[in-house]
Amino acid sequence: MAGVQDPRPRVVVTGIGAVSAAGPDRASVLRALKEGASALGPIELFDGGPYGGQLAGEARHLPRVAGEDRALQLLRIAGDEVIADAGWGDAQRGPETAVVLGTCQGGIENAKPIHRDYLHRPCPDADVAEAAEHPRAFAEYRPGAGTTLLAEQIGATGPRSTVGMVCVSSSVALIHAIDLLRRGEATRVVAGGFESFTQFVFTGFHCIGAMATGPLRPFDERRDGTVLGEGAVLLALETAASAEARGATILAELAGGGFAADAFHMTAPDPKGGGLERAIRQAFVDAGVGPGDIDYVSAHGTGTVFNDGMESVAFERLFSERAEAGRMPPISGVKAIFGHTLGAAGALDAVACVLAIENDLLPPTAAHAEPLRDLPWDFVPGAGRSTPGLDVLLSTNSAFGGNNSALVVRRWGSA
Amino acid sequence: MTDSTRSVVVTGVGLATPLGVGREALVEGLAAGGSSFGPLEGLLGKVAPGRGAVLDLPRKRFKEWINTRILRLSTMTRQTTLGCIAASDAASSAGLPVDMVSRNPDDLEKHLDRGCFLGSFIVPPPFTKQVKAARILARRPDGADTGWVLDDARLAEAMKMASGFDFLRALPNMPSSHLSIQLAYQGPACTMLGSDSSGMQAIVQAIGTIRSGQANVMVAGGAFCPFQEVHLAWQNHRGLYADARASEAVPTPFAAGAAGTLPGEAGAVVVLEAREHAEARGAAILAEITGAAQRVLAPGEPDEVDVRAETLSLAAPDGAGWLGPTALGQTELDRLEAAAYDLAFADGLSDAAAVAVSPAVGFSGPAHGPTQLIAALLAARGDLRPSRTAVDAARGGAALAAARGRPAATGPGTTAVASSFSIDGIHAAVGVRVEG
Repeated sequence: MAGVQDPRPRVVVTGIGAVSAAGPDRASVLRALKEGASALGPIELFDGGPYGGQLAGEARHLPRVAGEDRALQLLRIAGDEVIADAGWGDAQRGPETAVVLGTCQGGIENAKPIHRDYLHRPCPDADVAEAAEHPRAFAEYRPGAGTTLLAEQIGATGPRSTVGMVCVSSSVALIHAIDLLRRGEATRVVAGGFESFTQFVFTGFHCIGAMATGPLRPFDERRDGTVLGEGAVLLALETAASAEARGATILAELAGGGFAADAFHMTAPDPKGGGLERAIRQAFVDAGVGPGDIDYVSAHGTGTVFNDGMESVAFERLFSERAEAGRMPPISGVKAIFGHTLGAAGALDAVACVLAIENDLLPPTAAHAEPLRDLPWDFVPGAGRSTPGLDVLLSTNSAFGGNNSALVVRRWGSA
Repeated sequence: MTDSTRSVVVTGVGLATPLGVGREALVEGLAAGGSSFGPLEGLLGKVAPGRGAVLDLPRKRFKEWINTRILRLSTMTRQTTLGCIAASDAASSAGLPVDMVSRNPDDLEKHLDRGCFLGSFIVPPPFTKQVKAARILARRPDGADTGWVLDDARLAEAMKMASGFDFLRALPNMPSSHLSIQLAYQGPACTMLGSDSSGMQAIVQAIGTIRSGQANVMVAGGAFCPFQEVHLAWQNHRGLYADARASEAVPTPFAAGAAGTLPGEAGAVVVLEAREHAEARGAAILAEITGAAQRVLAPGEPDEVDVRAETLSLAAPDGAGWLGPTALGQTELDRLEAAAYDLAFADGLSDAAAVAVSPAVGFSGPAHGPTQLIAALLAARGDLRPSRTAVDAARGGAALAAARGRPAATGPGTTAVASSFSIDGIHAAVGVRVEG
């Protein structure tokens, strides 16, 4: 694409809303990235003892609100922040504003009282009466409910969609948002993801043996599993023309994205990382960059043996020339700080890239000490590292079922 | 690179409906004018409406469409299963390889430009093991009900029952992931979750994916099984279902006596392809996409009908000879839909014909819109001749009611449009023009 003017509208980030285990706003995310301090702690939502006492990235700073689904509570708070951060007002309400969100289980917490009733009354002859007992729960139960509620909250009446792709949900949502803006179907989009920490999902991950027995250690030889977190992470995206016309501060550019399937196995990733490599190469083409341009990689880094192993193989192949020359880009996994937020993970990783550009900061891999396979790469262990010149960043995610995504985040004005 | 003018064509359709697997089953079923409804068994029969349309297919026959050497039936939800059957049927009808058992690298290389978008809906499937486990966990030693609360002493006992695969199969991305594994499609894969219109949204999104150059072939549509107690109760709570306990009623869209719809399960997908790709491989082109759009309604606001009409007009800018409305048979929803079609196509409706699948197969949520699209497309081609349905349209929807089952032009150049809407207010529509 070099030398050819890309006629597509450029997509920029003008606002961030981020609720996570580290705090209720984007400032807390930045602080955590600088300090490299893990926000993971013992499970408080329920007794984790029977599971082996694992950790979780719960947003302990936010009390649960009785009667409000936790995931929707997190989403509402992030929604307020992203609009304020972007400086959107009445002029940004209406049909030119879209909402695209990703989630894994949406308002699954709302299902608890419903299922409890059915479990206790397995022959629900009086189903209509039972449904009437849970009108709000029924309405918010659907994964698309978060998208609808956020759209109403911010006055967006443009396109809406909800992506259910587990760990790549919100990164795919961001890619869909880029497409909406490029195709002219919207002028601005709030995109991202949300997920709450629930016993239902925790039990599922525990059943499949994916949970860490201790800290989440991305790309560490001692890694033995992941730690679940919760959060809602939103990005205000708009066309560069829209942002410039209103004099908005442009935080970064979402230069391109790609997603691809392993088509390999229901649970195991392609050990060669073929799907991830294809997603990244697609993102490179979409953004008009190459492996040599990448200044930093925010990897999925779940801390599981299979995921981190697969990712490292894909990166090894993708950046082979740079690796041979001893110039591998720094790679880190921020889940060691926030936990694995599933439906919000891709957006949180993208936000880490935006904050990295904005603050000349390499996001760290907390709890990392022994690189897997003794790879001589910079996993940015410990705290965040002040690093100027971070212009082109790559964010990657992968999911059960063999889904992979990649986003290129670029400093505005660097291309 | 996005090219909004890139021609996208339909080269295959795939169906797994209560009428059977494949387009022939739909064609014969709608021509006969019968229905597939029957009483639901067990606990489901005790939940209103007590009746529904189920694909009655012996499990052992699933292997005709699903490669069980690479996918395990025991770890697939019903909707994933329906989606895989429909996808296999669609790929076969498009003359594409149904599966790639050999995983030959040379063959797989050809599939990098192919993807799968599927609309579905998170509904916890009948987690038999989990339900047992949850009952154990919810039962305190003193016998008091405590809700879904872990009882430490019983956790180990419950965990022995719960399988990790039971959790994994219910993850929202599994429907599209299974399709990509089944077909060895290594391009974009995505499960859209909006709600009842997510199947049509998946098709709209897939068309955009081809136009943006991210793929040359997309299998897209919806798959859903509504037969889960909580879901049935919710839809019934919405007033969607007819009270079928004491009658043999079937949905009667746009009729004066319409009393609601009935649940049905389905998988319905189309094979979308960039025209130049289809022509290069000598594929038979069923139709070209004339438009695809999604718009959001603000429920209850005055412009509700306008927005729906705008979506239809974008999908079928030159009008439509065949119509595939949602046609639920629920009075108020039918009225809104009829008004939108009136507004979008005005006098053109007097010459158009409509096809409605709900009287035969019920309402399958995310799969319903794609099923309607396929039915309208097949009718426009002249492959499907829906039976004439006498409808008393005294209470509204006159034009659409009159159009149901009416003979109309067919063959090359004939246009068709189908639409879908949801409780979220998302209205999606896709238009096609038949090719030879």
